[in-house]
Amino acid sequence: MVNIDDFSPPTVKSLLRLKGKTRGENILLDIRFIRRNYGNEGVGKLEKTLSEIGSPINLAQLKTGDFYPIGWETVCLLAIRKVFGFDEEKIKEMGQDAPKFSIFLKIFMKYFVSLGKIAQEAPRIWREYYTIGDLTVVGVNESGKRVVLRLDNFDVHPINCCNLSGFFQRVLSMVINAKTFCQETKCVFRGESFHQFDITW
Amino acid sequence: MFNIFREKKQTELNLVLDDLTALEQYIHDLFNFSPLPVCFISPIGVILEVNPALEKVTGFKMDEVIGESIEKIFDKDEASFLIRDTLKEGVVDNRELLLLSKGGNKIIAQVSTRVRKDENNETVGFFISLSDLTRIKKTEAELKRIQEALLNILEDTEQARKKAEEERNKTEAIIVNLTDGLVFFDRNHNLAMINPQAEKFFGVKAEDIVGENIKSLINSGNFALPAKFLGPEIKTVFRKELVLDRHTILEISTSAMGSEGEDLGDLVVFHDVSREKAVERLKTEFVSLAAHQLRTPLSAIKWSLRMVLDGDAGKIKQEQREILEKTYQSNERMISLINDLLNLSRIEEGRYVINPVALDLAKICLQVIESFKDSFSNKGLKFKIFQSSLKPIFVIADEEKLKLTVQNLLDNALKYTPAKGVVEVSLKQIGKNVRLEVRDTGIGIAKEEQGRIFSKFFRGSQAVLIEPTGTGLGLYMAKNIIEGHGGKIGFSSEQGKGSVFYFTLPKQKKGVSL
Repeated sequence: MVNIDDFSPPTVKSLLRLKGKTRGENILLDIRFIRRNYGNEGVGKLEKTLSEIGSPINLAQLKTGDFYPIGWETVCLLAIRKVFGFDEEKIKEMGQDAPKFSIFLKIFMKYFVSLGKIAQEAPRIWREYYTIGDLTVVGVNESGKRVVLRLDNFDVHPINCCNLSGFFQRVLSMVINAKTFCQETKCVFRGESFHQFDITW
Repeated sequence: MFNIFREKKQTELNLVLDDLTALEQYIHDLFNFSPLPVCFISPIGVILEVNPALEKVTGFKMDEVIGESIEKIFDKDEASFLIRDTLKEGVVDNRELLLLSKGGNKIIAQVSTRVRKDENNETVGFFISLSDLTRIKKTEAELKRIQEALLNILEDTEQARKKAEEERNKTEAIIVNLTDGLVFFDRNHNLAMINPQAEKFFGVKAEDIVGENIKSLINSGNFALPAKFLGPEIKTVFRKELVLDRHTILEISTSAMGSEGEDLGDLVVFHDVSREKAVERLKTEFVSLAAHQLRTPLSAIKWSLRMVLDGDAGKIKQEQREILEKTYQSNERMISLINDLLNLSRIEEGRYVINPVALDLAKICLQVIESFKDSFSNKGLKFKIFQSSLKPIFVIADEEKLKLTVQNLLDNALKYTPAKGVVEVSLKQIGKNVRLEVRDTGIGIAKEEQGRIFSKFFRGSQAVLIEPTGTGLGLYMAKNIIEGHGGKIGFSSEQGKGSVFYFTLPKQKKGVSL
């Protein structure tokens, strides 16, 4: 069982060694959230924490389109949790904020016209953000107002699950134009073989 | 070899990525720079993008509206129609919608939309651009209010104009149809208006003389006679007669016209008195004829009665004498009346000839007073006479007529002063004039009757009660006589207290020949 509050140097070190990459935008959207809520001062605190923990992450030099080790995103989320005292709901809220300003998501806005289309394009959209993990829409029940997502091969950190839960919730809300709720019903960190997210509205 | 190829490919990819990042920044900057509020909406009505200008106009931050329904910033029904029409037509131009601000205000906005399609020509959403019409609407409302106010003013002005026009038409109709002639000279004495009646009087046409100055009118044309009468400065006259020809006599009055202290010009009224004059003349002729015809038999009656009373026809009884005396006195009064009527007709016909000679007014007065002394005494009146100098006071006058005037004044004092009253006669020299004054403590003249006291046949109401037999011609003749001598006559009176009648004549040195 992974301790979500563990932000020790060894944990950070192990996270930085994880295989797989994440788009710079994933980290930058979280930083944007911090800047908007805590200003540059908040970002400065974050940079200081990242430096103190011995991470090589230089927030100022991150590029939206570049890929970085996936652990960088996780380390940043943990640093944010530590510096600003974010609970899991707040991390999820940060994930909800990201689709609003994601440049890559804008590329796929053309699929934001129906659940069928977005379900069809979900794997491709995922690949725009991560080099690991496979996202599929395993169930779409419009009349029952429920969509089920499955994420395989993504054993990173539970904090990423919180963040992704918020991200999926917002994206689906934008597709159906209704208030949605997302819950991770299966998680590899709870002993299951894949992640499953249930989105209802 | 494979590694070299991969590195080359990676370098190319990095370059493309850098270009894309730069392009994204450019689009971002452009989008953010636009002062026009813009947003991008998904086909199902989710706000996917907004720019800072839209943030500014709605008050919502980007993160508060992106991902939210379009209904957050537009009225639900209006948004629904906008989406429907945009997706159907591909475009909506300049539609007015209510934009909902964060503060709850409703902003009137003009909205245009354009759909965005993907490479497969499928609609992926639409852009909305909008203009805040608040200020324009406010200005529009203000303009509308001003327009309404102006229209009201215009309406009022139009009504006032119509009213003024009506008034003008009425005035014009009055002027045109007036039986009096009217002409108006402006402040520079140019003829500005002449009505048809005036045209008819003088045989002129308005178009020939309007605009002409009175000085040029004096010198030529049919209007010369009235123009000369008025003079180059348009003298002020009131009911002065102008004889146009044997049959036409006009009475002229002028009135200076002004408004708020500004001199506008002079209005001249020509009133045709020809008919009145003709009637008056006929009346005077009749009176003259009747008086002449009556005087001869009355004289015969007088002398016959005198002879009987004097005993020429034999002795008469006392009772008979008394009857005859009364008849004689009545006949005398009738002769006096006839004489007055004859004098009146002479005055009115202009035949009242004055034969002026240098005479001593004091002496004349004493002679007349002498003839009244017994009468004053018999009535119980106290009579006084004041003379500033015992020297003769010469005037140029007709003796008979001057005596008649003094007689008239004394006769009135005698008739209308009750017993125990006082009558004073004074004769004063004042500068180049001599003034005769008859003061009494009689009945006086009511204020409302004073204005007509010198009118022909007029008698005061109190006077009629006291002396029913008067003719009302005495003062009329006195006035004509004194004015005929170049003098002035006047009076002051208070009802119940008495009157002062006076006349003045120019004083002359003795021996001045006429």
